Amino acid sequence: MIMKTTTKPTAIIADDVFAIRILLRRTLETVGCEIIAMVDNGAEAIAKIVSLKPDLVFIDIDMPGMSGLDVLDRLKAKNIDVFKVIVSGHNTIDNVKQAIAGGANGFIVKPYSVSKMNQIMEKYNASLK
Amino acid sequence: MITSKQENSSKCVIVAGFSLVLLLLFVLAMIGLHSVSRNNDKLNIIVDNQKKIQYIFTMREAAINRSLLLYKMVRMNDPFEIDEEYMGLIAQAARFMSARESLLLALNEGKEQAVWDATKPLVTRGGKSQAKVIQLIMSDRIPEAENLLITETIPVQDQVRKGLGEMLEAYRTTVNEELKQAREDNQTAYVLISLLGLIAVLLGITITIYVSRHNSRTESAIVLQKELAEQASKAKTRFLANMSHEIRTPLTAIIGFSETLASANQNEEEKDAAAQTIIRNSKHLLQIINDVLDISKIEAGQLEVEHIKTSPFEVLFEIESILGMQAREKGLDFSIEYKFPLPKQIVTDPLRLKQILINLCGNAIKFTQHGGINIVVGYAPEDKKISFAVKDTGIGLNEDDIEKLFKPFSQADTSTTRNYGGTGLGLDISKKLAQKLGGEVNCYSKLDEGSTFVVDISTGMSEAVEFVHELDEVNNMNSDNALVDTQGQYSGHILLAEDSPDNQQLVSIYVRNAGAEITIVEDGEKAVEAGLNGDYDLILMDMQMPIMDGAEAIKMLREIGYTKPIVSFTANAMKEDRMKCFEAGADDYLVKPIDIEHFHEVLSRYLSAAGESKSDKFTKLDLENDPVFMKLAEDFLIELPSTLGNIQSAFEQQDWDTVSDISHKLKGTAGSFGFHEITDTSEEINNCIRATDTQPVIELLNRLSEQVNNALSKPRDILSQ
Repeated sequence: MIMKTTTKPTAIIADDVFAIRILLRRTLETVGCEIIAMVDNGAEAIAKIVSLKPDLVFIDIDMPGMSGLDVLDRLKAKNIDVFKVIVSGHNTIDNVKQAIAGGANGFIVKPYSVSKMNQIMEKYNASLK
Repeated sequence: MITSKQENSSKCVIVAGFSLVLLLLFVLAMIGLHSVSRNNDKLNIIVDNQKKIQYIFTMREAAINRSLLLYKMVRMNDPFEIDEEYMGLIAQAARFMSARESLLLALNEGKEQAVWDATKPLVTRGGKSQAKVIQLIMSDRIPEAENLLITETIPVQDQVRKGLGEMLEAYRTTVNEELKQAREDNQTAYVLISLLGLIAVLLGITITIYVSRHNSRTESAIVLQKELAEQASKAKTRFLANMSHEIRTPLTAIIGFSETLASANQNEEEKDAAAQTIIRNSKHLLQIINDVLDISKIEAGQLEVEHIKTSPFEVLFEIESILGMQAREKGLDFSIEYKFPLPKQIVTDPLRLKQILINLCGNAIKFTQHGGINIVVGYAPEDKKISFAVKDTGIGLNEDDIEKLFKPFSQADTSTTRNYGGTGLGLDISKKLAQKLGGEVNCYSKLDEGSTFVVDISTGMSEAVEFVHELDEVNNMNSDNALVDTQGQYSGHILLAEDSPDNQQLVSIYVRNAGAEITIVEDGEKAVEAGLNGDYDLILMDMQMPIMDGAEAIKMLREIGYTKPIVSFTANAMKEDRMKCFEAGADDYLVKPIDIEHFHEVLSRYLSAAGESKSDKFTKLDLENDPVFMKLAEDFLIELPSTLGNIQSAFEQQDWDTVSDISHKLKGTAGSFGFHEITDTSEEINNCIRATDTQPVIELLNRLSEQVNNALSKPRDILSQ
């Protein structure tokens, strides 16, 4: 049996733009996350969340087809417990309100910074206690 | 005054009264109906009996007639005459039978039947005997017939007549009895109905009187209430007029001296004096407003005090530093006398204790022209209370005035207000506060001989208390109380959310003087947006703002993972105001109007001092040296011109799907590499296409093209964020 040696939190990234996925991955790795999957649409994000059970999920709010807010609604309907962070290129207050209503645990506005990620991780760690 | 309880009970009385009247009327109706139905029954019986009497009467008559006819017949010789009488005899028999049939049908079971059964054999015997006589007459045996008639038939017939007569009498008696009873019944019902009817009418009248009286009583109560309300309103108006005067006085000084500062050519000394006057009057104004707030809280029963470990010495040192100077400025002595031993610490609300002492000492200074003010501090171990006696050598008070003193909105004498100023609220507030702190304020005074106001409060200590026996034992906090260095320099970026332009400006000056950067937004929503966008070291959030207030904004930021320090501005330092800030998720609070020393203290807590960098505690993602990022950024920039070309040609071909696709992609990426304007414009284009409003797109594309050119001309900027 192989012992899992890492205690890093696991995360899934959902964003339709390749460059953004890579960038987010770099940022998250810097703050100590292990990225276990990257997907480019909402439906696949839900499938991966169900099968891989990550600790965190970073969902782009504005994806073609199923939006990030739709993904939140689905996760809520399925009663899936995961730390949900909405990622947005834009921070209109309506997006923020909808994300909170949808059950988001965090909201990050691009561009990503280590400081922003660190805050999210701080809240995530606090939520474990 | 009419309470709702009284109102309810009188309503109950009215409802109960009317119910009773209705009940009585119902009973009346039932009694009436019942007696009518009983009378009906009686009438039926009477009519029945009358019929029976008629039948029996007919039967008796027929029987007697027959006997008479027989008697006639036996005396006749002419057979034709006998035949004629015989016809009569038969007719009488028919009458008898028909009456008998009817009687038998009408007879009741039981007693009547039994009487008939007893009479019946006699009747039969009589009939038979008559038949025999007829037979003898018909066979021409007249003498025998006569003999039989006299010896048997007539006596039997007499008995029949007697029996029927008895029956008749019995029926008559019954009828009479029934009649009598019916009459009696009617009389009873009549009396009962009249009596109940009378009661119902009386009750109705009573209720009417009660209701009309009650209404007039309510009216008079309303009038009384109105009068009281008017009185209260007059008192409030008087108070407001007084307040308005009180507020105007310092405001006049503030406005006047501010204007002289702004206009005239004054030397430094004059400017300094003007500024000092403005500050002093502003503080006085603040005090008035605080008093009014306190009194309204006390009146609403919302005043809360805290229980914090406090050094009474610290409180007194502060009092001395605040009021000692005031007293000495007026040429008065100011001294504090300690009656040792005194507890080193007590549990109380230091802010409120200070407020009481400042008020008492302030009054003492105000009303004293010569001599001085002396505070005597003592401890009473039996009831664990610490007392502060503020003695002055002022104008003093007489007994009546002392009583008036503690009433809200009043001073010893209305002329006092004119001579000495003040709101007349201070002592009332002090007394209530002292009571809240487990004590009392008392006044001992004689006219022209000065006054002593004693406040004693509970020390609130349950465990063993450490005592101080001489002043040297406690650190002289006075020296520690030296001004906080307001010239401290800090580095960092502050976001200020504040809707008042004046306060925005003031805080900006404070922050810039302290060496930090500041960004200003004017409401809670913008604060959330800005907080999410930028990396601020500290957010200063006013609690009262339009659109979204501070508490909601802080709550929202905390909910979406903003963990950096937030300090809120609140109008009051009271517990509930502070709790509101902390409950929302603020780390700290600042009271408005902002105290510069406190402001710097807060800055020093959350910002790093100039030169050192607090925010550097996290490993920074060194984007500039990250080959992956650099490659991505480079690719983005290299592709930018062709992306622009693609979207422009798609627009020319009116290929809206492609325009939408490209704008969406640009929107998602550009921001990440620092080109927020491109993201904004792309979003606008995308929104237009979605709304099928393509008219503004051409202009937006021009703007985009400009922005792309800018991006390409200074690509290094992307890394400077």
